Amino acid sequence: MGLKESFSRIIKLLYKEFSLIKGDKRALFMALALPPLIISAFGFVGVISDIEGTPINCAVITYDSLGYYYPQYNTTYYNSTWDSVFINMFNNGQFPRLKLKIFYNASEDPYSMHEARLDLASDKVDLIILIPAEFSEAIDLGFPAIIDNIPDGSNIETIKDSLNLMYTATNIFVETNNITPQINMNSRPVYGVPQNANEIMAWASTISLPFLIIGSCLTLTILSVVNEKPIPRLLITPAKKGEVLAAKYIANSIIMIAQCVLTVTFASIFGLYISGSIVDLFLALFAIGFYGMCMGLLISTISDTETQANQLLVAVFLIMILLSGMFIDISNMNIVLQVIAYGLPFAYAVPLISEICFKAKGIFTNPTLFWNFMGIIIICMVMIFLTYLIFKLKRKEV
Amino acid sequence: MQASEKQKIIEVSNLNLSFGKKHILKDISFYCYEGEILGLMGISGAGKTTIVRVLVAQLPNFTGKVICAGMDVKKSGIKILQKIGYVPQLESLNLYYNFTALQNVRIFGSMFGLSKKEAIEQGKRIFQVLEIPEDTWKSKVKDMSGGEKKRVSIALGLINNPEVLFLDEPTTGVDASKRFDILNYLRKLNREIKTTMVIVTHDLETSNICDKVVLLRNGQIVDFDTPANLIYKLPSNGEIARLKIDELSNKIIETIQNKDYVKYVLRVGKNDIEVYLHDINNNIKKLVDQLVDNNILVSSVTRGEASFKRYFQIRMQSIEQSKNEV
Repeated sequence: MGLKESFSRIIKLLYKEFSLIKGDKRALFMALALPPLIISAFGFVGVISDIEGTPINCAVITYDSLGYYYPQYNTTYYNSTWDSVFINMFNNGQFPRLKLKIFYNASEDPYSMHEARLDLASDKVDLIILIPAEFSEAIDLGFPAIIDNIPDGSNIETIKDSLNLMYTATNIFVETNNITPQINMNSRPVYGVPQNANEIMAWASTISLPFLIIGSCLTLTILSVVNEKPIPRLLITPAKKGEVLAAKYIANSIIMIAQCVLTVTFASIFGLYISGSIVDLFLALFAIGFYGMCMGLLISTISDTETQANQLLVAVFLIMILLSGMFIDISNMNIVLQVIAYGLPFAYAVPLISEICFKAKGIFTNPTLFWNFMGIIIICMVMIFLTYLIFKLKRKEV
Repeated sequence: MQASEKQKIIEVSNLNLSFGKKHILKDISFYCYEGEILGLMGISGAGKTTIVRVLVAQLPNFTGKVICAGMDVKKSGIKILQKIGYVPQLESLNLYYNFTALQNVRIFGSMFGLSKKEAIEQGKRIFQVLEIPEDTWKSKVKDMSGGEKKRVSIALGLINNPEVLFLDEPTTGVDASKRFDILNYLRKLNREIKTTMVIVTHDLETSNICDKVVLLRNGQIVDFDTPANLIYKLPSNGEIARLKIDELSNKIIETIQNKDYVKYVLRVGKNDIEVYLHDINNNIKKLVDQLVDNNILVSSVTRGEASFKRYFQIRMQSIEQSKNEV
């Protein structure tokens, strides 16, 4: 009997629950539409993007054409057969994902190595391939030949990819040309994490620091407007809508400064490798956090209820992760997705952090980094404008 | 000071407001002198709150002349907000619950350009008038009682020493004794601080503290006058005969209603009626005699004045009747 009554009450309470859910139609729409939308977005990104992988831009330097002096014969022997074959195969796209961007002949240009290193530093190339002197001679004589590669160590993916791709390339080179000698490889990454630094933290920092700062700033501000009930009342004082918003931006920015200082301090304590300026890292983190704050306040202003704000937070965060470039390189995405990706912070944040930490580049000394930084600031400005516009147009009544 | 010598602090003439095709306020005209308490009354949807929104410059798309705190609302726009105070219906819309009463005072005071010291001094002064216990001033608002929250909310409305204080349903949601207290506090504030008050309410008891009342229905003014004058407009100038009749029935009420000198009969209890008579002095005895002659047992007869509640009831019923007749 009691069970039957209880069941009947649950049915009635269910009616109440559904009525409550139905009451917030936007929240209901998002609850139902969000999962298929996100899944479709993932699927869409996968379908239309080149998931084969990003090409690795290479600079190839050959020392093979340098002559070898045989003292017993008092003559210099020039053999540059096999490096030419290797480079031709490169040019013909026979090595998957490896793209010959710049070629240097060290016999003609004694500063080849220096120039190639500059290309690596300025992100023109991701990998330097070095064909040493006597490469052709070694192959002809049946000795093990050596190819050196110097990947950009600031990106762990490049290190792994370049090593794998070079192994594949050399195998293709050997099999295609039916040559017997083994080709040994030396990989010496530059701009990597030094021995005394916390390697795991250093690699993780490029992606985890932006996520950490954006996440904490989003959660700090996401309910800031939607949850502050006396705002309409404040607007029946001489306080203007713009002032109410400005106070929120300033207050949260101050909290963010403290947050960034603590983040940098604790990361340093645990051995975060920062080869660049700590002030630049702080500025980069501040800009990334500012983006999180602007996004949080925009969501909070758009939303009418806490539920809507929380749903939007999940949606935005998922899209940020999806289009962060972690899964698919942004340059490989469809143009529409690229536009969205460049409207999100990670397109700028990840290079900012890695270039400062690993390559010691400065925001105000390196134009690429400066525009990455400015990219975040410009998006923030657009979001502030949108937030103000929505806040201004939205009816706030006591 | 006579009313004619006083300044009109609020003056509304031919106020009209539409939202799209919906005509919300129709030819609203009323006024209020400095230091008076004006009641905006009517059932829900009458347009009371909309009028206040126009007066506090939140709805600029109106036509007509609106003066508030001595300023033309159309011309001055939000400058008017410096001179007015506002107390919303719900305290949660007015108070930061995680702050203390004094912190709230400081925040709202600073919006009007008051320094921390000035805001706190002004807050304490109003808290004292409103008899908010001093030991709660530094407590978080969320820990205060309902009545204390309501009074802190009223205090915030007065923090800028406004020329006009608007109160939206100040007695809604509080029990009878607290309602009485709040009305007393408002009267006390009005006397001590001399602030003009506009009270939006459907609590008819509020008329007890009002100098003037605007009675609204469907966005139109039904009546505008002092409560006493409005009651005087009732049949028999608001004088009533209260009769207790044993075994009172609708037939008896109808019998009474059909007397040519009876203007209105209102049943107010199981055996009680209020009768509004023409020339009450002469006809009250006549009525009782006729009832007794018809074997209707009248156990008591008293004479008195109608309350504002009766005025409201009768006025609304008569409007409904005339509307039905049309």
